[in-house]
Amino acid sequence: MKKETDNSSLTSFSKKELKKEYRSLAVQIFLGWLFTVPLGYVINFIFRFILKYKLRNSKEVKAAYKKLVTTKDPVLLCTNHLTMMDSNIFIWAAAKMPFYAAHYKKLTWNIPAVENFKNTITRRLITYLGKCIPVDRAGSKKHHDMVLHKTIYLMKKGHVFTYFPEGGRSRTARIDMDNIRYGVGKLISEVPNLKAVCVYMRGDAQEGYSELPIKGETFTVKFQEFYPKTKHTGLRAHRDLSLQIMETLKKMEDEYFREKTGNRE
Amino acid sequence: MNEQEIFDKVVKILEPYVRNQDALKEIKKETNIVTDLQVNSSRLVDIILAMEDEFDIEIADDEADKVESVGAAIELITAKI
Repeated sequence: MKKETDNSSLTSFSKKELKKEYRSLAVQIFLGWLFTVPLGYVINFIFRFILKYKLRNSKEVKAAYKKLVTTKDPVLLCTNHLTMMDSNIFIWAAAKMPFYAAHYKKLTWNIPAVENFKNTITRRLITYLGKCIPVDRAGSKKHHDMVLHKTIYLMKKGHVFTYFPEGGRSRTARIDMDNIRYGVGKLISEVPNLKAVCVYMRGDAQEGYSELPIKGETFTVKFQEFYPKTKHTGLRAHRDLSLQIMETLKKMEDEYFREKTGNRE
Repeated sequence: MNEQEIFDKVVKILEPYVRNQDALKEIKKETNIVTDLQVNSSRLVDIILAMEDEFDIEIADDEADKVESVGAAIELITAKI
């Protein structure tokens, strides 16, 4: 019998351990799906009517997202990170609730740091129902590898994932090429035929990193898809693949600011 | 190559990533790369790859995970060259 971890640098887990984890994921998916529409409409209402968020070229963004995730290949969204609400804003921006209810796999999973939500039951519940696999940054290699196992398992089943390759909100408010992390490269190297979709998302008034975007913010969302490939193996492959993602995001950011400056002139 | 030469080369590789310059001045085999030298843990991969290039060796992922101190790095390199 072929092991789940063949040709992989990840920790090997027993079939029993994996089965238990996969079963709990199935329960999480079912409950999450049940709550998608009610929870989604509440968040939608808050964003549109209380926080008064707006999305530039909304129809085009939604059409592009639908096209990008309609594929048999595993899809990883690699997104720049500026506020604590980026994941929720992206989910709101990328598609409408009926699409997510009908194509639940296309509502993106997230891998948030456990310290961001463990303190309150409400946050933990929303995170659980909102398709998150929590990661303890200070956790063991075994814990990190189990998170990766679950991620890979779900991606191979057609679930879309969001990954913030910068590892946290950018302290410089720009794609920080001097502080690259290689986790995204490690994930990419473990999933054959992975389609990377780089997402550059930014509010017009977003000058630095923050908890929340300002009220009345208008967001721009841009996509760039490609299939990352490397001739390297091991850590060198992780670095090479991460660099490809970060360089793409950097180009998208440069383009964003060129367009923004051009519009002002 | 003797241990002192390996030690000197390892220190040279670490230098650009060290944030605690005081700890660098007193660096010894027991010095922890992340906690004592305050090297960003994300940069450990760059350090491992620089060691591979410098000593013309290959370090597997699980071996890289064990490189926590200067001494551990020297031990690993010595075993491979």
